Amino acid sequence: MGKKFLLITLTSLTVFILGLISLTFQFVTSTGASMNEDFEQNGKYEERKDDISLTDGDPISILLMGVDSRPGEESGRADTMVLMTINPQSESIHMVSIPRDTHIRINGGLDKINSSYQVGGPGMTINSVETLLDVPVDYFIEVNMKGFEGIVNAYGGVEVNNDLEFTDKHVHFPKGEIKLDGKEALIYARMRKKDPRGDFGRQKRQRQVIEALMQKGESIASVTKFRDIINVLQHNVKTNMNPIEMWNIQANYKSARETIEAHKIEGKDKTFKGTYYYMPDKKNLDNISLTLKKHLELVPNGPDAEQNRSSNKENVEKQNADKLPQNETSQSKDEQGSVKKDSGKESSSEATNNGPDEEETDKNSNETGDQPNVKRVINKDWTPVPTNQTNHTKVTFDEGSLDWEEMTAAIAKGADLSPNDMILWWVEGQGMNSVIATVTNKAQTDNFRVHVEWIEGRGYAPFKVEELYENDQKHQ
Amino acid sequence: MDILITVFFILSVTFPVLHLYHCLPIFREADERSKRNPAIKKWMIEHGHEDEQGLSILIPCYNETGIIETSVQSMTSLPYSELEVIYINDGSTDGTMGYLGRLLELEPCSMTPDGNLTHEEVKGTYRSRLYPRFYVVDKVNGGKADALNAGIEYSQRDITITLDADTILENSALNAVNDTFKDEQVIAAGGMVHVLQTKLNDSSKRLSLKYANMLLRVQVLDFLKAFYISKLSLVRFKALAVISGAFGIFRKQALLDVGGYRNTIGEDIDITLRIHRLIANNKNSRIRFISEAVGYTELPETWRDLTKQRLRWQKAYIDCVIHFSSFFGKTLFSKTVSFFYIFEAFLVGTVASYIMTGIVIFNMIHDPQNTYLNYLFFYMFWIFVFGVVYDLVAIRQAKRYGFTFSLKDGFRLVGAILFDIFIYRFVTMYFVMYGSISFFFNKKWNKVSRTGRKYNQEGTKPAA
Repeated sequence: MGKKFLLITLTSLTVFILGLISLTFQFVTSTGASMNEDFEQNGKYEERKDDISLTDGDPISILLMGVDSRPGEESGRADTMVLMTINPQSESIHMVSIPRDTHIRINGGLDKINSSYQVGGPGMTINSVETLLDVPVDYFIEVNMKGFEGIVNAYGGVEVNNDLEFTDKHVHFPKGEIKLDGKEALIYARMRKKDPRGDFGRQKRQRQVIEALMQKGESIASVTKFRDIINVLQHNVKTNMNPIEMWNIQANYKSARETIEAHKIEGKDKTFKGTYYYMPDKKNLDNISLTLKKHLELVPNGPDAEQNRSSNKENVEKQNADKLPQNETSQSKDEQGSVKKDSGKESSSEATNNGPDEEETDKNSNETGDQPNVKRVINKDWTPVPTNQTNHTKVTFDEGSLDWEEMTAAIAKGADLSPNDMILWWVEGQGMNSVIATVTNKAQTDNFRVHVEWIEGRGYAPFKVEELYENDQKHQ
Repeated sequence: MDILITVFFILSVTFPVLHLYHCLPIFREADERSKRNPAIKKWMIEHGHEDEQGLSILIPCYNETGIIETSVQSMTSLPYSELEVIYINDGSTDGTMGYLGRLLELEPCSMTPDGNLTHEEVKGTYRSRLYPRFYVVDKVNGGKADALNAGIEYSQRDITITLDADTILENSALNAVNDTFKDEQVIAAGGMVHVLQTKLNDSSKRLSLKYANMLLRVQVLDFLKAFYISKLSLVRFKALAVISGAFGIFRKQALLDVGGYRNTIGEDIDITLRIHRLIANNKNSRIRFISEAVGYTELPETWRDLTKQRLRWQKAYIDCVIHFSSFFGKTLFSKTVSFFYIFEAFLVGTVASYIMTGIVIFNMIHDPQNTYLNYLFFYMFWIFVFGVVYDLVAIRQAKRYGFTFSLKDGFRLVGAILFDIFIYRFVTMYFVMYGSISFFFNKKWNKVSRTGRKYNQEGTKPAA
């Protein structure tokens, strides 16, 4: 009897181990391989990768990218970019959300940072981020919407502290601690229009979800879900990490989760030739860059290292204190704190930087001091123009096509003009599914810049309309 | 789909792992080895003090001119006195009968059948003038099972040993059989079968791959794995479903009780299962594997012959699934033999090969980019783990039972293992799949022709 027991134990143990091995193996060979995508590192940082030792816990930087593309579709938009620097020694993570409209030089020309993704994929986006912040990006993880949903579900959902009650895509998000499944988390992290803080509110919500996921760490819901997770990862995630690096990072960088500091890039809205840009504040960028460099131990912690550390500590305390109640005010204070620290070296900059809240309210009001040509901004909940298209994939710009008809109808709707009384001066694509158009009435007395977006399955809808002082596209 | 794959994966991993562990000496059963001190046993045998039970060796022959001399030579040299050897000429058309007559100097003798079993008409019975314990039954062709039934009818001893015409026995084999069958509870047993082409002509237990081609070398591994791992383990589970037709031992009474052999393509599986059915209600009766009883049998040396043989085995196997379906159904979870036959051999061994092949092909067409590579890698991985480990354990087991390879064979073995892993197993899978289907269309015997070599002659080496 004892021998039979031994035999059964040995056999089941072996089968179990073999099963684990083969799952890992499958992950490495197939999932890992199909997730893997390398990029050309900027010449400047070419050698850096070889110098980093993940087993020693050298500080690293990871760029998280949320991409709006369906699997198989080549180009999409990098809607979300969050650069994380992770330093397990100082037990801290710095996170910088990079607004997708951030103005940057691409291939010598000037453009939005998220169009670098359309031009050159993750590689170029990374190079752009490196240029913008002057720090190396060691790894990137690119997730599309399905992948994001899948990851959140794999962790059994995430809990976030919502500071803004809103309803989007028929899901209601009440204020306070809420638990979100994958689908809800995606809506939560993508919503922008209903947040008075605009993109900044969205960035904050995205960081909340990322933080929540990081805190969950290795508590993957159940082993039985492993296959599903692998399937999700395989087709919806791209990264330049190989499985060994992934393993090392999850094993050696856990301690960094203790403190998570968020930075926001200060700047101004600006419109160039009818396109909206976000102009980052140079000083603020330099500060963030310096913080990140110090965090990555690229520059010695100079004379202000002491101060840095103490404020770091302060931050830890704050975060820990916030952890329990985590109400709205303490959260925003926290963010403010980190910004203050960034600009701490120059007291003058603190005076000019009125903190994030101020900035947000700035944006909130319909005054548009930064954009001289904009008379006022109209933010309204426009319903989409009903569509008759069955297989819309992107804006076609074929004059006379159904897509074009529907798009111009939506533009007219946004400008509150009848299609017959509208002159379409200029239309410009914003990624696959949205356009910016400059229109006037026939009399050319009222000038509008209309932002129109395709809403999946419903049609084109205006989402932002600016009334202009003068038609800036007349020369076109 | 995923669940199905997982279930099959677990099943197809579990059985080999189970056998790998179970064949190890730690799981050896108390009565597996002779209780006597080997030295005393040897002395007793050499000095005629051995208590010998009567053994009848039955050798059905159908067109065996090529090998019969080897067989006769081996049988006549066996040092066992309570022995009769009966060759049953099953209507050979190639002069096997005349050849036997010359070799044994036959003279007609009258023998009386027991009259328990039916078989084709017997044309005559003969006795050897040279070796008085050797008989020949000449009968009308009726197939191997029919020939064996006739042999049982004319045999006079209590224990029946069935051999193929190309099986030769080691000198100590019969003493080992005698030892094992002293236990009244043992009613059937299988002997260890090695590859005749690898037998050296001295009396050492060393196997040589020198004169074996690649096909033979992988079959050597195949046999080592089948006998020293699977059969050993299955016997310990009381689940041995195949006593090899090349070397099987039965109590004559048991053969009579089950009504003798059924005339079918796989009479060796059939008889084993009949015996299982017979002893289903008798807890103490057992079937054994006698590792010390060693025989050598000739294996096919060409792909053509190997294909014939393996297709026949697979057909035999399917035939018994169908013939014994009600027995298996009733005892699927109460008798280990049914469990292993259906789950291991049928589900994992046969059905799964269709399913897995189907899945691979489906995926290759459906999603070629990632799955193709994925399955290839996955396959390589398992191949290495199982193929290599299984082969190595088998070789180690052989050593444990006294069979070693010469040092120079090391490279040949490595080559054979690689060949086994990368080519041979695909081919055997094809045999399984093709054989299972062709069973329903073509139930022929597919007799394999003998190589026509002379074995076991002092001073001559087998031709390469």
